[in-house]
Amino acid sequence: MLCLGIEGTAHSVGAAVVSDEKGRARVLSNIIQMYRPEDGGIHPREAANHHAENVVPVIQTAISEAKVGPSELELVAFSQGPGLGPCLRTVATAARALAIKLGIPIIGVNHCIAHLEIGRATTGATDPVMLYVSGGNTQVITFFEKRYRVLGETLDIGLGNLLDKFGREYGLPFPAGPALEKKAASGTQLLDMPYSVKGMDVSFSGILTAAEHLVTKGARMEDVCFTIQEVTFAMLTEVTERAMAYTKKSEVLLGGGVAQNSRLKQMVDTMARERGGLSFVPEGKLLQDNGAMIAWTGIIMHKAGVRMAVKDTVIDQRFRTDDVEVSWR
Amino acid sequence: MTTDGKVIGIGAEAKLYLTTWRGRKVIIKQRGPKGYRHRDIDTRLRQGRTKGEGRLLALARLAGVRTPIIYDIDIKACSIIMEHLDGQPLVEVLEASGKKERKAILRTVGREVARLHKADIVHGDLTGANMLVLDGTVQFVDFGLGSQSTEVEDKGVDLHVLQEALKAVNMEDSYPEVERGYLTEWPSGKDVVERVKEIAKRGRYA
Repeated sequence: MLCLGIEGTAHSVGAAVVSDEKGRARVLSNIIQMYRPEDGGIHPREAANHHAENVVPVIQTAISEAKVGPSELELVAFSQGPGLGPCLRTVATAARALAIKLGIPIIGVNHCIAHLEIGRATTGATDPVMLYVSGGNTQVITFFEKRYRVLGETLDIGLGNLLDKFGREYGLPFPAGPALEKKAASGTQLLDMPYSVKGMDVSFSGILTAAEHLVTKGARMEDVCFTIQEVTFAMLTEVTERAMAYTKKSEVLLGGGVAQNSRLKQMVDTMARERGGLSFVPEGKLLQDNGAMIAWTGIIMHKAGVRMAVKDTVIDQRFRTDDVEVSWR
Repeated sequence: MTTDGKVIGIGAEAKLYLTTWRGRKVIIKQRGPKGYRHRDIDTRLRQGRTKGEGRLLALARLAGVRTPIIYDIDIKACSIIMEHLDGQPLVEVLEASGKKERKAILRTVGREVARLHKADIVHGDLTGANMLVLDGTVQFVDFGLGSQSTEVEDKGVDLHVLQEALKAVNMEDSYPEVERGYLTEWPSGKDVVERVKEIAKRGRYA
């Protein structure tokens, strides 16, 4: 089955063609176009404008790079939520138009679950606990009692959001993660920052305040970045381990743009090994928001018999992970 | 401090050993190092939590709730030697009981949780295995996720975890007995009971 997946929940619009070959995902193309605000944060309407301008060329590139004809496509999948309303609506409109024009079925996909499914399809993980860390989302998700469940999550802001807010104050380019990681690499001193874990949940807002305070007091930027990473990643690794112990699972999977950070990967891997488990990380492009994960999840949903009429494709800004009936596992 | 003996539990952050110490049957709870995190964070967390748990166990006893007696705490080694409690896990007792008996036990559970909350102690993990029943008394173990708090929200979450634990064994119908016991012991805990309804509605785990 050949599926075109369109992603557009936040700052990135993406399209990909994925084929299902004997139950394995084959990514034929995976195009991502990221909206980078000139200054300030992401304005939902500006991001949606960006997506509206770019969604057609991105789809065209995805189709031509995959070396398929539009008439060979058998399914259109799109990110139905959660995410920014204007962005979701833009991408959903494109997906509907394409499905109707080509006369093929359409499927709306939960963005968070798509991160997990592409990990399962490409890394060898079979039944993992996923630590999903991006700009807007920070969650620990796993398949438990017939659904994908959020066992733990941030009680305030996503970790990527914290990094971007901090980065914006001190002139790091958006997204701030990579620049912050570089600075952290030459940090040596662990400073004082609040470590806030409640059961399987985490909280980051106090860290932002503490970090800004430290900079004001003259701490080295490198040390502040180093401490932000050491503290927040330790918090995430701890709640992930707790979720693994609770569900008695031995695999951990990373997802989300922030998971491209090598220190986070290292911490999660060490944790997994110390408890006799294994950690899995999809390749960089599949960690970010991308169309391939949407296409693949669309395929497995379709194969499991999920069908949607156009009227079922209304977007859901607060689409909960555990709202999805998982018929394919 | 020795950690010989039989490992009877491995949690995410600690191991439990069953052994003898000065002729007594004891549990040693040891928080081992985690290689993934910065050594300073690791030491601070393990020592702080060991201290905190020791404090909560003692405070709970002062509040009249049965918890293991602490025989020794080794902050450097991050271990607590405590009394081994006899008794059967709450879940097993509930499953083996008739309806009337079950109600009585859950009222006792509610009363004891109210005693903790009245003293601003939040257990943090009120699941079936952390309450042991012996001759009709309910004893509490594992305050590893506990805290001291005056917040209605924290106490509400505490009760909600218990409600969810009952739901997991299809006994949510009996949850009102917990509320009854709770309010009998602590009438002004009404706002906590009300908050649980609100927390359940948020539907995080539904």
